[in-house]
Amino acid sequence: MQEGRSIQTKMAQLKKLPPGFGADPEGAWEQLEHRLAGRKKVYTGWWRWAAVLLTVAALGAWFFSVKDDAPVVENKPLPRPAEFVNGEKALVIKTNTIAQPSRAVQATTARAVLPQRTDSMIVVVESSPDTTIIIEPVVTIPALPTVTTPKKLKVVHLNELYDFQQEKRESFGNAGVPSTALETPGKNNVFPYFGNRKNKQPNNN
Amino acid sequence: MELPQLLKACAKHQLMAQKQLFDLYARQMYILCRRYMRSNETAEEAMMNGFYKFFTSLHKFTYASEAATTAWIKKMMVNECLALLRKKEHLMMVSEVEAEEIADHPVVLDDLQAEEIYLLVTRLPIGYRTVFNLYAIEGLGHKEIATLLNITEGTSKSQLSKARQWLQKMILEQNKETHAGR
Repeated sequence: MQEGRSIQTKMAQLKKLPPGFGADPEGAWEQLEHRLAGRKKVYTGWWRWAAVLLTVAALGAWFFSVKDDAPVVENKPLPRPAEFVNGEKALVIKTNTIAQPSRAVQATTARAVLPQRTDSMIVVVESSPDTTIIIEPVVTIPALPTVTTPKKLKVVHLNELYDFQQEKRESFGNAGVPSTALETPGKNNVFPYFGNRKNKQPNNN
Repeated sequence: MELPQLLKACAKHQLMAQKQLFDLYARQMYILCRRYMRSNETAEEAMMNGFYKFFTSLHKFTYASEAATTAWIKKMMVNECLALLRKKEHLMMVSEVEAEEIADHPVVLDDLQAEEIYLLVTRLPIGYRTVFNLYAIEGLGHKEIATLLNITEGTSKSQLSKARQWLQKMILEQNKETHAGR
């Protein structure tokens, strides 16, 4: 190792290169500087990632809002249940929606839920041919021409319906019967028009 | 700027500090790289790669002393030289069996000047030169050289012996030429 130490010392002392071994430190630095400047450390803090994600989300939202090629579907008016009967706005209620157990309730509910009910509004009850007429007095009009099956439509003024129910209730002497009983179908139901189906007469119209 | 401050500034990727550190070590490192590499261009490339790795991995380095810093930079340069040799010169060592043991004549080199030794070393074939550089100049042991070059210790020893024999032969020829000239 004597030789090694000797050569090491000599090499460490070597400050001048032999001819032909010249370097170009400036040129080397320029290249190195280019590399260093081109690949500077990118700080990857969580907030940077969050910012990137937010940017991507915003761009995505913008892109899909602007570049949506799907055809614009116009809001077509839904087929309204309301019809015009004799020039008056009406509501068509099928008899099976006025369910057997609680016709009275449905009838009053139908009245209640009419959002734009006016005093002149007409409720149209659509009944099948074998269904008993359950609301009287009614005006019978022919079935709509577009309906293939012949149907009879019963029309009654809503306010009249309500009054009619009240009138019938009084005439059948249900005073003292709890109001809930009126809404409950069965043998205790004393309101024949909206109660037990067995009491109904077949519709011969 | 003192070296510790300079290193801190370099770790913060301050280009001016990096330039200052480069100027401080460039010459010394180029001399080192040129000992390993065949041409000025490849030596410069190895030096640049070494500095680039040094600057980009500076955050892992803890300053202890100037000597330790220099040793670290040197180590990086040597590694870069070896990597470049493997890539460009297809560095391969003669196997242990082929290489023959040659008696050492270490005294011969002691009479030479630093520049003369440098010139001779750069004329050595790549395999001999690499082992000679690592052993005689960097001061690594055969075991370390074997690990570094992925060879056996025996191959490292025989390569070193052959390098010495080659050097002695070259020196003797030079001496003969000198005497003949007189």
